[in-house]
Amino acid sequence: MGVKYFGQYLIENNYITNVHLLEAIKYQKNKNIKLGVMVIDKGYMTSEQVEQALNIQRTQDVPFGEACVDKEFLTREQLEELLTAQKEDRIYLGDALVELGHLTLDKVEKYLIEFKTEQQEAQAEINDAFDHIVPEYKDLVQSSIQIINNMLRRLLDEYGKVSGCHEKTNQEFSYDYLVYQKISGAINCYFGIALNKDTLIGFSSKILKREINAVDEYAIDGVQEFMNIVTGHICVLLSKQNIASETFPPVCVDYKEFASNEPITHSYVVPILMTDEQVDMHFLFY
Amino acid sequence: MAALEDLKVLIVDDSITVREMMKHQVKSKGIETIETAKNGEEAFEKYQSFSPDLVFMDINMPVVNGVEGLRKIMSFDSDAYVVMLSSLGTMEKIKETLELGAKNFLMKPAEDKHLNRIMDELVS
Repeated sequence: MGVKYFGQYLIENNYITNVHLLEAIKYQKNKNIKLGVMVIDKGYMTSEQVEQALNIQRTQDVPFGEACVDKEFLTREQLEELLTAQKEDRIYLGDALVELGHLTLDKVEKYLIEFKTEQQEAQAEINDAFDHIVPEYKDLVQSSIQIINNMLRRLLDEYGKVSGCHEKTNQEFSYDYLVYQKISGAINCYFGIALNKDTLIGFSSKILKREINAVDEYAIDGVQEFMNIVTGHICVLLSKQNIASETFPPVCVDYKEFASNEPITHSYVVPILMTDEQVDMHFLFY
Repeated sequence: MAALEDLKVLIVDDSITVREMMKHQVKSKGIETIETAKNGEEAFEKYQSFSPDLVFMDINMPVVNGVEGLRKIMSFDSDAYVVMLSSLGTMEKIKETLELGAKNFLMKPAEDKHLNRIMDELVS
């Protein structure tokens, strides 16, 4: 059990095939009307204005509707009217599967209830997992995971999913590398990412946007810089809360050879699932 | 002022990853004349020979750090357009570099919308 999408749940349980799912996703994409089409149909905007707004969306990373309002192509009221209409007419995955004849409506409703129940349990499990963290570190761990997910999305185009949080014990992990940074000050912690050789290579290839085939200086630099960026954001977060901290440069070591000069008091591991891989985030407090 | 594609950009970072990421981002704006340096000392040397219109400068670097690099560049050319690019944006660091003459302070990874604003300002 873990946090997942409805489509994934349906395949996992053999309620539909992967071909059905792909068909349904394509069907949704064709049926769901884009805002850019709606504004022209309604006569609110010209195609040149849509092109301009799309360009703003692409280059400035703002939602299409917001770009239209900023440029005064649409009023806020018009945008809200269109978004409401878009939501009302939206075809969900379950609808698509019914319309394509892959499932009956009764079945979709039954599976959706099952799915939501399972997801609530999965979410509760994750929340419970974070609850085990001692209170003074809980916020830091949770906020750090949010920053990591944000950076995975921005730098690797990956949507990471947190599948829990465990107390670390020595025997249960067998990774190749640990890339970590030391944070010292009001909070003292080693913060790291544990990965296998292939994940490290894949990770850096995505960041550098070119193929890397071995664990060379480029591959290591890619993961180290990822950690550096994440840790930097964590320290800004701490600084905003008036928690003074200092960070040390990232280090890449053989996973089994990590050694701390300070006695570790609390160790937590948060596995993050990506498309093909899993990495474990380590928080070792001393 | 120069057209966007005529701008000369110097990227200063000890990490190959950041240099490549930034090069990729800057190139996507249509800029082709890009040089890189690995520390503040190299940045100062490149600044004198390359005369960039825009410098992206990291802070924590070996040999000569970004704050020193900025100081050297600003004493050589008080009109230099230097943007600090760091993964650690504490208020003290931001204040220190802006006081030394940096025009802006971006958190890594640089967001496209921020780069666009900086470049718009440079060519306007």
